[in-house]
Amino acid sequence: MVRSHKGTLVTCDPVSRVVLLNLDKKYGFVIRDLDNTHLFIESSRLEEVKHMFEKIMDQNSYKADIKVD
Amino acid sequence: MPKHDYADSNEHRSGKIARTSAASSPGTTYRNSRSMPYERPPSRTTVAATGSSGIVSRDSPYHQRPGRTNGSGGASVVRKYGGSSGPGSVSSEPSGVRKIGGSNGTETPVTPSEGSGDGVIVRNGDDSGQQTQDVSEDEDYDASINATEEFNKEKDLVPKAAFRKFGAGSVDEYSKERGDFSVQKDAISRLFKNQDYTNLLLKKDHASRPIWICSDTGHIILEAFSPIAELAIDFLIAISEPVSRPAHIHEYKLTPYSLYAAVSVGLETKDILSVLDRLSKVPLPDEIIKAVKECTVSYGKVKLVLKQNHYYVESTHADILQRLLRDPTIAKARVADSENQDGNGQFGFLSSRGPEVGDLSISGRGPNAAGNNQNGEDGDALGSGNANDIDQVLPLGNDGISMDDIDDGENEDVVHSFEIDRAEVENVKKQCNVLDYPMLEEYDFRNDTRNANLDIDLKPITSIRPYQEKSLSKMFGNGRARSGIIVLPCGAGKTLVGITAACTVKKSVLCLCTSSVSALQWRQQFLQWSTVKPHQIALFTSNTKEQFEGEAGIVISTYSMVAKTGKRSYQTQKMMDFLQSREWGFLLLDEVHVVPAAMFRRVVVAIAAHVKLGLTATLVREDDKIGDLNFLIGPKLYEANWMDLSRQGHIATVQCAEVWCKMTPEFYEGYLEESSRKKQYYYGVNPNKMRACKFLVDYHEKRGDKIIIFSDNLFTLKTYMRKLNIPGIYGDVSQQERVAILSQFRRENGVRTIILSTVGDTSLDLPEATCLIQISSHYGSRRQEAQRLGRILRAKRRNDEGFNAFFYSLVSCDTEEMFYSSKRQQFLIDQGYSFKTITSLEGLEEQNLYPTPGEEEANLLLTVKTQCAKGGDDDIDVAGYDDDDITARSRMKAKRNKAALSSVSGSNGIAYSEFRGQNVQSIKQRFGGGGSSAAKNKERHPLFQQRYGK
Repeated sequence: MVRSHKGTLVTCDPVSRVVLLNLDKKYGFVIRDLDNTHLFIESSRLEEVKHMFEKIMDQNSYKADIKVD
Repeated sequence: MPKHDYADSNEHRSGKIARTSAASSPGTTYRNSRSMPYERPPSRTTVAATGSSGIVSRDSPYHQRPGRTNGSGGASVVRKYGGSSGPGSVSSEPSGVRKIGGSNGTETPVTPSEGSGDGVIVRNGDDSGQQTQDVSEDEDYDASINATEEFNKEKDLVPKAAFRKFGAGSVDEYSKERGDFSVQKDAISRLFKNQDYTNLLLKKDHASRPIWICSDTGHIILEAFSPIAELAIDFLIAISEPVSRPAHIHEYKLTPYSLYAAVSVGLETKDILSVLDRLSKVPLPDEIIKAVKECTVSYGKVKLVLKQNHYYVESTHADILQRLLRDPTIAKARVADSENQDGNGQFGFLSSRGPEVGDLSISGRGPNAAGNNQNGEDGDALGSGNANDIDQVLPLGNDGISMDDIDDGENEDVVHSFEIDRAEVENVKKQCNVLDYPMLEEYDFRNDTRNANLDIDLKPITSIRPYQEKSLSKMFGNGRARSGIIVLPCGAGKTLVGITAACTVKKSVLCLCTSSVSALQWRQQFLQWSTVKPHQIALFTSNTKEQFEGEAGIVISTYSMVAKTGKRSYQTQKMMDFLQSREWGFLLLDEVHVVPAAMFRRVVVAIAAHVKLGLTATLVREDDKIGDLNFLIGPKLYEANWMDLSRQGHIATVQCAEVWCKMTPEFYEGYLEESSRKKQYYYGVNPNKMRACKFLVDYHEKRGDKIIIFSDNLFTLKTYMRKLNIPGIYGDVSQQERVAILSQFRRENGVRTIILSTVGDTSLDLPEATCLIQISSHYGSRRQEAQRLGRILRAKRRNDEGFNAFFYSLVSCDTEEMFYSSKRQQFLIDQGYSFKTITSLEGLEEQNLYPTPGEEEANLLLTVKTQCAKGGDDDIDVAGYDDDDITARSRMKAKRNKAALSSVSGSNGIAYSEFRGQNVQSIKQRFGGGGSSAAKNKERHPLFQQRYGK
């Protein structure tokens, strides 16, 4: 029987893809890993994925705070 | 230079997910239409929907720049948000404004139309009467306020430069009472938090005055383009510390130490205040007046004198000494027998006539020494010239105090003193700082007859540069020598400054440097520039222990040699005794920023030296110990402006660039998995970085540049060496090999590129090098960055027409390297360098450079993984770490375990022995493994316990 998934195509750079695949290992939302810049993921998990991705991005972004005194 | 793409953005956010219109068909991606110059050019993650929902979206907070304008009339107060330049137009001109485009300029009036959409807020002035208008109560100050303030929303990286701009006929009125205007706020005040100075009063003729003074922090902002800026700079250098000195706006800071330094060069409170007032656009804030008074009034009253190898605290005011002695620390440090010598006074001070007073006023002008002639004018000549010139330019002359009369009035004849314990000198000094009587250390070397003179002079052919002269004039300001620190960029001739100072003092010299290699270099330089005879110079390193002949001479040693404690060899001990027993005229400390490391502080105290001179290029440490230098050695006497020196051709002009290299997916995966320290294998050996490195090497070799590649990480270094076929030098490379490689590099047609570990960071003289590539670095160390840059500042070809040296820093995107990199650059940016960001090297793709995607990359990854699995400590080059924290080296020492000799053969643990009775239990317990009956014992069923006994 044919099963259908409602999916979302994510286009990203290779590095973000690695981050997303890393998340997928734990949470499993990727339907198909298409190529270096594209992933096809479950639409229903989208918000969740977005949230997690944001969080990782935040951890990975640095603000230079150099004291000016 | 290859053509590069530049990005304005300083943010390190990795993926950026832009919103696309929900109805887009699968596979179509859109760039965020709102992307601004602030955003990094390649939008990285886009989501297209197949379903109905609008997908992962984020608006970077960074590109929501307010682009509104609300001015129509004469724009009077302008605040600039980041530069309006798009990618590709980052100004290459040195600018302290970090990567926010070419907003160096200050001159062009920003009209509202220009401002609109550019992210420039133009706040309205008078005529359309919106926010700022409601202030006026009194029209006393009709000076127009035209403050343009550089402003960076995200960070404090930008010097808080406020600069003026002339809006045609704009007039702002402020209330007379100073108290009033601090309350006044407007729509964007909050963005500036407590640094909104738009409400400061301006003097009527502020336009011709160059500086602003911030009342609360002591920051002074100077318009470096003002006609009298040069004079102002001379003055500001004397009384404050430079914080940041880009092209057009300089920032200085008044600190107690800098004010002490000012006093010690002979400036007095009232002079400082009057000149400051004359230069300032704003009336001097009361806080500043108070602070200057507090710092300068008490200073110079107490002196620390080294007489006949004993330390004395000396003052013309006995009551001050008494006050000092009430402090327990100082009282404890006092040597008791000084009381016996003298009975008068309740504290029994030694009293003597101040012997030098008469001679003092002749200062350095005496026909004394050739060295002195070269030192030129003495300190106050600078000061007075300054004041007079300013008088001319600013014909206000309200009080007309020139600085001619600053010569000190030490008219008291009687000098009181008490002796203190040598071991306590450091504490006493510290305590005196606490008590607000910082001690002034001076050495009247010409009247010191007790110590033998050293016959040393500069060779007639030696000539020193103007800035070297200026720095020395600070040191020998009033004919006496005073201790302090001189900061000159690498390659600007610090050595010569040290030698000239030694030639001026003409007493025994002890010179300390960081390594035995640089000790040799110092010796060579002494022989080259001065008339000293070879037998008068002695080296004291682990290899050579010499003594000079005659009564006075020069000893050159290393910090670690002198600082080491514990048992020494007989010869060393003898030498140490010699060093400590005598009185040194002059202690020269090379690379003085290392001194605060705990083990070296002792050196400075252990050796009795009349005057100490510290030399360094980078007076920054990542720890907060740099302040300790103030009492260990003395105040900062002089700091050269890098940009000035490079304009005058004393050091090379350098183009700095940060090259962003994307991580490949495989390497990034590894990066994410590994623990923090092993991460650097991945971002160091990132194939894209390797390719970029290879590309740059090829490009510059073709231009005829000699290239040095720097790598901190040994694994990275070795990989690059092997894969790119570049000879390298690191800790394990033998001396012969090093010499061979370096001489190859120095030859015209020899090796064009070498790769160095941290061994090359300091004191390696390679004037051939014209290009630097940095592939791995010591976290956020600002000094390392500056020291590395110093390798190319002395480039031989620097005086060629249009010559540029290049400094590339390769950084892997999306890794912690980005963070460190921005931190490291801070020092150089403060010196006025600007870093370009190169996001992609043009032409890189076409060339098929080493790790080609596919197999080669996979192999490389495998190497890295193996290295991670090994995870050894062999990735840090121990030999190189001799400056920042020397303790790093001791940490890396061999491990020592207690073990038998047999363990060397590998037979450990199978020694044969017999055990009987109770011993068996204990042995078994000890070895745990064998049968582990002891452990099982407890688990036995109660019935069996009896049988096995317990």
